[in-house]
Amino acid sequence: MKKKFICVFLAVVMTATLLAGCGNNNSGSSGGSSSSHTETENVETVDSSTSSVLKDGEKTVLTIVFPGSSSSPASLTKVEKAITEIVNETIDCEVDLQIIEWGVYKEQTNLMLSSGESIDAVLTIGTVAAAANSGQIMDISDMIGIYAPETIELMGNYITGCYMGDELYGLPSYRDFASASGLVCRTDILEELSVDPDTIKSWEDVNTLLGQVKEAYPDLDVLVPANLQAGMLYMMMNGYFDQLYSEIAGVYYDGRDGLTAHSIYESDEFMEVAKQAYDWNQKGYFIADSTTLTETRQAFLSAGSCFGYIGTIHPGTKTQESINAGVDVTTIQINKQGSGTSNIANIQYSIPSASDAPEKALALLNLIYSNPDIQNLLHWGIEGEDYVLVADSVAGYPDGVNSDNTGWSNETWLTGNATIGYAWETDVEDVWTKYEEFNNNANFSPALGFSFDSSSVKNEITAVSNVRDKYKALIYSGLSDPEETVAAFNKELQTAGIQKIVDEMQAQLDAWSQSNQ
Amino acid sequence: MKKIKKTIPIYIMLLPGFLYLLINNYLPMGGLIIAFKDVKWNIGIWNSEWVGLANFEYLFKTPDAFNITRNTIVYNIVFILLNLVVALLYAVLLSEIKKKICVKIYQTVIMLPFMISMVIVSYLAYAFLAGDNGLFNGLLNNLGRDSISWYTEPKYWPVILVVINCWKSVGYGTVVYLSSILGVDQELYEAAAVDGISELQKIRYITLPMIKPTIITMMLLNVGRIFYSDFGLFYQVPMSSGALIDVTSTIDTYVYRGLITLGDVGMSSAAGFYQSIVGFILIVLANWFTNRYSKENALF
Amino acid sequence: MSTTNKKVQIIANLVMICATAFTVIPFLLLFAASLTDSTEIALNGYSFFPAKLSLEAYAYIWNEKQQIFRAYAITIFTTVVGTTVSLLITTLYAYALSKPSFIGKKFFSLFLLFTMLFNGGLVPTYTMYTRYLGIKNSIWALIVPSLLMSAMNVILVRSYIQNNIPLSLTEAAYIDGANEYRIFAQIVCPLSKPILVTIGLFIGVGYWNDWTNGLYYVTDNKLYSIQQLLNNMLKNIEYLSSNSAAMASTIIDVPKSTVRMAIAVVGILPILVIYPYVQKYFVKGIALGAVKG
Repeated sequence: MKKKFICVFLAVVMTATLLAGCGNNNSGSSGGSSSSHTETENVETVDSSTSSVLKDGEKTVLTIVFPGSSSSPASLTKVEKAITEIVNETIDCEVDLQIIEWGVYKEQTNLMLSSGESIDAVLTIGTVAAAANSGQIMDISDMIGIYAPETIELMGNYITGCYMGDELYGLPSYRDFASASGLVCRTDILEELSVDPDTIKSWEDVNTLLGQVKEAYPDLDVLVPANLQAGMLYMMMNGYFDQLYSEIAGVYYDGRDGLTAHSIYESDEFMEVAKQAYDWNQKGYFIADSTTLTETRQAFLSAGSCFGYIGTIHPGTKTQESINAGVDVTTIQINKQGSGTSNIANIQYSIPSASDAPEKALALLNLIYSNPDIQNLLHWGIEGEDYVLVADSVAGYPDGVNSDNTGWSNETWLTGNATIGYAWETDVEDVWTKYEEFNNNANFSPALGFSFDSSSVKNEITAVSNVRDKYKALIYSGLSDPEETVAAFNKELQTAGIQKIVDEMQAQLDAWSQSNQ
Repeated sequence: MKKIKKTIPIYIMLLPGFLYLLINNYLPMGGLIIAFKDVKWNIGIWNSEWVGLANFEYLFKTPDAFNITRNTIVYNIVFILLNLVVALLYAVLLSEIKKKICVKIYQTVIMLPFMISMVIVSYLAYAFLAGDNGLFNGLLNNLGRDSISWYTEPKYWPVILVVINCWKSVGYGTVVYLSSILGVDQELYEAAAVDGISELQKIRYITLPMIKPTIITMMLLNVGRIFYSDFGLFYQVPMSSGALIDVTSTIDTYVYRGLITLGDVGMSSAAGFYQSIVGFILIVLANWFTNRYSKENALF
Repeated sequence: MSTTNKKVQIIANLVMICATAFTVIPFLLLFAASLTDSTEIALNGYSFFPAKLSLEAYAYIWNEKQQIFRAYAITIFTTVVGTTVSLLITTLYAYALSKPSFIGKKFFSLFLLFTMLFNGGLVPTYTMYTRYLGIKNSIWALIVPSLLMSAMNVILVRSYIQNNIPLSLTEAAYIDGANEYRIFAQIVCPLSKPILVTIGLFIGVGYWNDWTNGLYYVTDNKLYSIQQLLNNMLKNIEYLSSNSAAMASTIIDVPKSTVRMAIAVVGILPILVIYPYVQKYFVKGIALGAVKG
């Protein structure tokens, strides 16, 4: 009697579980009309077959998800309404902007995408390949020609860089598309020592400069880490390698040996950085306990207890760091910027597989990328309330509004294509030209357009990641003799299987270059 | 028939909890199959491909496998035993102390660490152990000794972690055992007092045996969690310092570090499954063992 | 006899004083850190007697007071409601399981225990709650998932009832004509006060400290609990202070570490206040002999 009860019940539970599992079924196909990659000639209007899809009389709610510092800024509803109004001319929809806080963005979007929540566009940061491989986002290569022709025109090359083989999983967001590193330091000290930043061109020059600073200010912590817990000179490696799998392996940006995959830790550059770290640590340039600090570089700069840090450099760094730290900083780029697939494809607006209206979503993104009015709304908020025009194409805070009480604030690099909108009053002059220069003058990696499929080496990646975490901060902070530690590090990496990853990467690169001949 | 009628109120009492567990625990349990599949979210968990035990390989094939397993188990054993002894000690002492005010204060304070999050604990630990400005090093310097770079010397950390864990969790056990002691029938003590026994004998022959069931229950429950570790304790408190990884790495931290770039849900699910299975086997064994020696205290 | 008694008292008190001191020291540090000037921390680290005191951390919090008061309200509501409901269903289940034997007892017992061992995982649970039950961004998201009943608590209560409430008591009540509900409410519950208060405390603290439910199910910042607020702040700091991605960000506000300390203090303050009141239930010596059926 008892047993029967149990059996029957378990059967019911199992069935219920099965049904629940079934409910997760989603069709991942992209809709769209039958015509293939025909591009529309008319920039302003959409042709009739697509407009029937877009203007089908149904007010679909299109949800766009992106990160921000607050999930409900004061002007949210107004911005949504304003954008909806403009968009309704060509698409029947209602625009819903879902803002998720930075620190929890990755986790929450991952949950939303895995559980099939009905969102229509999401900003993927650094996880495009993984999301594509696990079916979270959809391939838009068929639809893009039809629904986003303007964007193709404006973003051209960069979109090409986002293709994974024949498939495209999103639209890149305009920003700095290359990585470079250098010294970011306090302007006032430079001026005191009468140093002209333009004379500092190499790491050797930086070495001399740091020596001068140490001599003049013996109690100052010369350098602080750019990232917490990653080691002091973690960023110094920026610009050497197009890291096809981040922090493990890649090819040289400057193409010196073409498509040869290397473990970045076995390279001469890494050894040099390790030695530099050891040297500077011995000389006392590093802040104590650099690997376990809890205070950020911004805090140290604003407390005036340090000179600077070695970090990422791009045209917006100076403004960004100065505002955050509250002191004026100078940026001195040392490594030439390198541009590869990961730089371009790192941040994209993707369309989730579970979206009910991918065509409309893509068309909406197209408008965001090409329509200046929408761009300004998304970027700066409501004119007159959140910003005013202070000069031709330059926006600024109205009286009484500042960064604390503004009703809307959004990052430049996640509005899709900020170049078509206004610049901000604190940006350097012709900031967009500067970005273009920075991007166009980069070393373009020979592997541009290649995307590494890590599915066959997942186990090795797990093991290698653990080994790397063991040594990375130590080596980048120069805590012990690099000759020994780097050797030990590489040995453990080999045991963990890094060679398998490199070989797999090489094989894929060879196959890719074949198919591209 | 009368028996069924009598049992109906019991079923009604069980109903709310039952429904809750069904919704919260059992229905999502179908998700366990993620550990055995290569899940593609666009076709759903159900339709994704089976991959057998492939997702489990990384836990065993790695050179660290032995290390992380050893760390997880040994730390847990020490935690369980130490916390048991200290919690019992505190509970017995608290039950003996006559002055109400004192008991109130002691009890409140002992419980406090339980209430704060591990992240804050990691900041506090840092305040003590920081190389440059840390309190311990300040003390050492005052005594004329050299500073120790705590965060890069693995040898101190087993002790540090055990102490911090005890500090944080002992309040829980104390309160459970204390409430159990308070439930002991006073008449037992009164009867014994008439026979004239000392305080120590009282504790040894009445208090402890009477709360033995609670102790056994707590132990059994802890045994099932032996493959799990407190992520905050092992990852955040050592400030993820690379030098300490060998002594502070557990299954949970290994999985976290490994999967943070991969984001592979099958692999992380496999790790969870592995931990559950081991816990399950251990509880069944421990329960069987208890059944043989002290049947009424077994869990099932 | 009185001398050994006194000896015991002295030893017991001495040990507990040491234990208390050992336990409370880090809290003093936490408190001191929250009152230190942040530049002081950057320059000289933490100290029990900070060279430079400052209320800036609390001032920062006071600025955000609207959000913080709201978070407090949310936390208090979820804790009170959650604890009450949880205690109720836990005790009901535990009492039922404590009955000597009935049809299906083993089943319900195993049903409970199995949940301690196996967990479906985050994504299925999340899918269950958001797609099928639709509780995302509602107050229920903070009360129901994971916290409403835990097998461990049920077992502790069940053991307590089994060991401390003699069957003869309940048997006598049956004979007197009482039904299960009356026995539960009027005999078992009052006698189980110590364990109920204990479990209630754990459940309450569980709700108070929980931030994972908020992390997964709440994106609307009007529904943040205190812990979620703190946790979000900490995660934002971690994320924003990293320098890897190409981000020309001008809008970051990275709160100083003193603010994190202050929020932690703010988070535990209410518990410190309430706990002493809860304590009076830890009263020794409920003489069972006094309760006649």
